[in-house]
Amino acid sequence: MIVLKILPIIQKNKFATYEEIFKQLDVERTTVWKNLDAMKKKGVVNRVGGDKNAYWEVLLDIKD
Amino acid sequence: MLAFATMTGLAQEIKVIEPSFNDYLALFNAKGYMVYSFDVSQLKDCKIEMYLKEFCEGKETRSNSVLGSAYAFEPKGNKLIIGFLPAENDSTQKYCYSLEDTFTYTGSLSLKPVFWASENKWMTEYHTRPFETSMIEKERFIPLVLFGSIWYDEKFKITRFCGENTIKPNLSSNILKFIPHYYIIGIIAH
Repeated sequence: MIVLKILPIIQKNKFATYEEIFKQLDVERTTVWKNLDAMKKKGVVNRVGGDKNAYWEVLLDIKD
Repeated sequence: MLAFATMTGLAQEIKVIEPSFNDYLALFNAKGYMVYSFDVSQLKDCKIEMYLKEFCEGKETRSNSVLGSAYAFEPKGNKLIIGFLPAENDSTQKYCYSLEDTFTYTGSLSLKPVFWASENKWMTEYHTRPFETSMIEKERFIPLVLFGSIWYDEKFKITRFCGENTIKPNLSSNILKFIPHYYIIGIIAH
């Protein structure tokens, strides 16, 4: 499940940009966008702050 | 005799000892932290999904997976914790599921105030109760913790939250007839 691949990236770097997440996964750019959007709607993650200082708040913290 | 009693008294003393972690629990509770722990060692081969129900004035208004069935996890540890954080405001309450060595999820519950007629003011206050243990059935909702509002008692003109200390899984507990708004936090085992 792509979501479970995205989460560890955000957990390691809460300032990760969409571009950085996309580069670490071998999937379509839109797939990352759609999944992150779904994760935000579900309440798995939150995008906090403005464009320059935005960061990810992880509400579902999965252990390695 | 008096002198003897005085001397005996002087021989006694209260020593300062190192506090243990358990000594802090009363302080955590007073601050608003509340935790329930459940042994889920029998669910090792299952995937656990967080599930939530909401009732308003006796009617079920919500019954859904917290994050969706895609977010069901096999427990790596033996313990599931459902906890509540100190209230930050009158409209939402943060709570969390923590499956030992597996995941921790923090979510929010919307709160509803109760009108305290005799004082002419709105009150928001919620309390928790654990459910009685029940047999584990796969693919069925297993209620674990009730999170419910106080209610206004017109007869005595007070707000209260009293009744059974544990809730029956079939929701027949008397206390539920009075609580105007509550959540049932539980799981589904797949």
